[in-house]
Amino acid sequence: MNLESIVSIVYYISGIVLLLLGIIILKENPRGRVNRITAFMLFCAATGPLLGAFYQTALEPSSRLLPLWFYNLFFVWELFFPALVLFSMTFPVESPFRKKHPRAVYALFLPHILHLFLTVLFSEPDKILSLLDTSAGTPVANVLFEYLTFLLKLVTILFGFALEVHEKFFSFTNLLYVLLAVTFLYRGYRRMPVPSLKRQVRVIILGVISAVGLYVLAVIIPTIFGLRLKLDLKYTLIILALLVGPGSIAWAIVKHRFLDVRLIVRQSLVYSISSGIIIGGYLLILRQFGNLLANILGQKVPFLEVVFLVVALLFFQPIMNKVNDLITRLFVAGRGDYRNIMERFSREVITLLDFSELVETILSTFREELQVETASVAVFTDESASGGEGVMRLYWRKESYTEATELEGDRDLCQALTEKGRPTFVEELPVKDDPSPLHRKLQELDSFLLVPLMEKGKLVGFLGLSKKVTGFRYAYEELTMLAILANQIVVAMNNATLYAESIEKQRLEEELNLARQIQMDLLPRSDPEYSNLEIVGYTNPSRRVGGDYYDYLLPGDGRLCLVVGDVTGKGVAAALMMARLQAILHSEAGRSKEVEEMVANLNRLLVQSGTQNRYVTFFFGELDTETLSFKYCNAGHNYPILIREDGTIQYLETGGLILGAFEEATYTSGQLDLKPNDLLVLYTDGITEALNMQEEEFGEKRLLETLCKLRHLHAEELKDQLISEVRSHVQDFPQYDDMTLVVLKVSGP
Amino acid sequence: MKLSSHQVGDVAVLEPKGKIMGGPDATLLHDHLHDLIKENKKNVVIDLAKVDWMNSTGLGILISGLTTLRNNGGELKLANVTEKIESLLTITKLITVFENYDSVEEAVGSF
Repeated sequence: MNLESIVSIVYYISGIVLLLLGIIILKENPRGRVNRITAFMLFCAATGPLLGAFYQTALEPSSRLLPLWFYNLFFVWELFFPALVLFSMTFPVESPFRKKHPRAVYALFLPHILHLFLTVLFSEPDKILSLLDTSAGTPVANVLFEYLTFLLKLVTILFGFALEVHEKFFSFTNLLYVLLAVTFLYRGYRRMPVPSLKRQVRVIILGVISAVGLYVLAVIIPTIFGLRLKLDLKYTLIILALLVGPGSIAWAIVKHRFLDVRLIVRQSLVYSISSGIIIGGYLLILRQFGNLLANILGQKVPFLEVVFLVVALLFFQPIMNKVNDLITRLFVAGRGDYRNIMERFSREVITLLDFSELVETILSTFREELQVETASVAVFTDESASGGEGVMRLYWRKESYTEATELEGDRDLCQALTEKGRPTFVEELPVKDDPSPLHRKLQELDSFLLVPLMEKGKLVGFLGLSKKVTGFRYAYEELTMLAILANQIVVAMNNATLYAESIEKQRLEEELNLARQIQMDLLPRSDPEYSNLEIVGYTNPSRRVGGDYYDYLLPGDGRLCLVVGDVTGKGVAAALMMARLQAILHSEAGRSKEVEEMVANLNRLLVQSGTQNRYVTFFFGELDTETLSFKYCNAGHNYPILIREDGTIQYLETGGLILGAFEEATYTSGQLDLKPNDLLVLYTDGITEALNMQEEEFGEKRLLETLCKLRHLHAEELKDQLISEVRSHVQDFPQYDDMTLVVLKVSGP
Repeated sequence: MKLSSHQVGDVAVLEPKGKIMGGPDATLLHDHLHDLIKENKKNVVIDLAKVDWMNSTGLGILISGLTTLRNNGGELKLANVTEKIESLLTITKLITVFENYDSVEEAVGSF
């Protein structure tokens, strides 16, 4: 294998690699200016070796089948030099010059375009001259052509002389461009703020500079000074340049994620380069082995080459696999491969229903798979919190256990995250002189990246991740992955919360059952029976269990006490209040006191027992079952209705304030005598406020009308009919308050 | 229930709207009154013009508001009590406890 063919192989390979790199970088972000300029530069650079190799191998140089200008198309590649300068002005940071004159920089290309134009057009002055001679046309046109041809001739002849000088001059221009590019790259590098980015930039800059430097040594310097390098030295330099240039860019992409090229591309790049190396090595061995055999045997043995090829092919795949594994482990995957984390999430995380276990697993998964020092997650403790206000619960994992604390939310931080709506680096967030406790805690946890957890455009929390242990920055695909996982986390958290709520609901249900049980236990088991009285009590606890209460007390001496009350509020608390009321009532009623005094005592004791924000509307009536004298005290309860035999209606209003509100409240009592066929009805607002579908109340008027209509019935029947009237009013509309009714009717003589 | 509030001089005027029925309403009003006390605004007028209905729990909220303010040396007064609520206040005899006025201006002026 001679030098020429090695050179052309290297030319081809490196040309294709450059082309490939250009395509990868362009495809990664076709709109990115850096990507476009880098790709353009690489394309220009690729044209050099590709065309060079093409001319060298496909066309015999001596035969000159094609005109010289075709060969001079080769100089297209020299557009690489202005492209390099442009690149150096854009990467790693935009130079101020370029910022100031965004269009002017394209003037850099003018000398090279002119150069190309001249070399292609006037490469062979003789031919052009003869071409011009034969171009005579119509007489009229001839006159015009005369001048034109004359001018062209002049230029052609001049340029013919100048070509030699021009080439030297132009090499000088290229050298100037290279120096310019090196200066810009160096200055850009100096201005870079982020150390992690500096590393990848250093690789690229060193690679590009050494590649160009080698080329300068091999071609430009000799041309300028008229030196003639040894052919093999020249080719060695060029080959080195071609290996170093693309190599450094490929290295930056693979190892340092240059321009955030995706993982999949990085992988395929690694694979293709490694296969290239193996195939190249194989070809070299094969060729040497063939030569060796030919030397020994004195002739070529094609058969052996085939055998060798088969053997090599057998080994190729296993070796390739091993090499790939090694390379993948070294450069690409690691534990930080986003596919692992995705898989772990769908397998382990999102199915967890216990909130704290869920948080723990999320944090440990992020720590292990992304290889970060600390992972944290913050959520609002109150779901209805909005605009970043409210308390946040922050969980974090630094060592092998999870800790948590509650901190006041940081509105600015949350607002910034909501606006971004995507994984955001802490350095992108607004800096405050006086950071909130939450912000300070995040700093303490070295949080570097915050991932908002959004639900319906609202921020419900965020993830915090520190820098990676490896020092690698977060790759583009990892940020995308985190955004996706954030959605999954929100769903998983919602599931866990809903599950907890359903358990809570079940617990509440049990609590309500308990409350109902308490309430039912407090009610009298039966109605008292007297020969001259019909007494019926009724209560129908609503679904939510209100605080209705009715009771009969029999303090002796033939006295009967009727009690109706309504505790504000519902549920267990109301039921307990009622129990307390009943206990006090029973102990107070045992002592023979005046009705109003008893109610006042009841009120004071209730206030003193510290039942905050719970009150009772209460009616207490004491009937002498023999004389039918009735004393009562109404503490803020719906007025009981008394319908006399003759149809007159009386409301029992006398009394005082609702119980449990004001300790010093005073009470008065009313007194009246009941007569045969009188009807007394005590009720709670559950009856009068019973709503139907149209949100229409049963109302006091309707109650009174119904009572008047039914007043001749027996108390038991009257109660049944009244309740069915109320029922037919509300239909199936669910009621939120208890309905309680006590009917007392004095039997006829 | 919706709650809005504004300040007239050194009197805070609360304007609940809808039904005062307990549950979250209770906490809302209660928390608001506590905030006012914290800000040392202890004279409060509740404008009930836009309250359609109030149940016994709603009354409880008003009572606890009144006691809380009184315990802190303040006072709660009502304005624009609708007929329905007035009858409720009458039944419960709370009408004797709450000062109520026909307009917010009168209520504010009474402090």
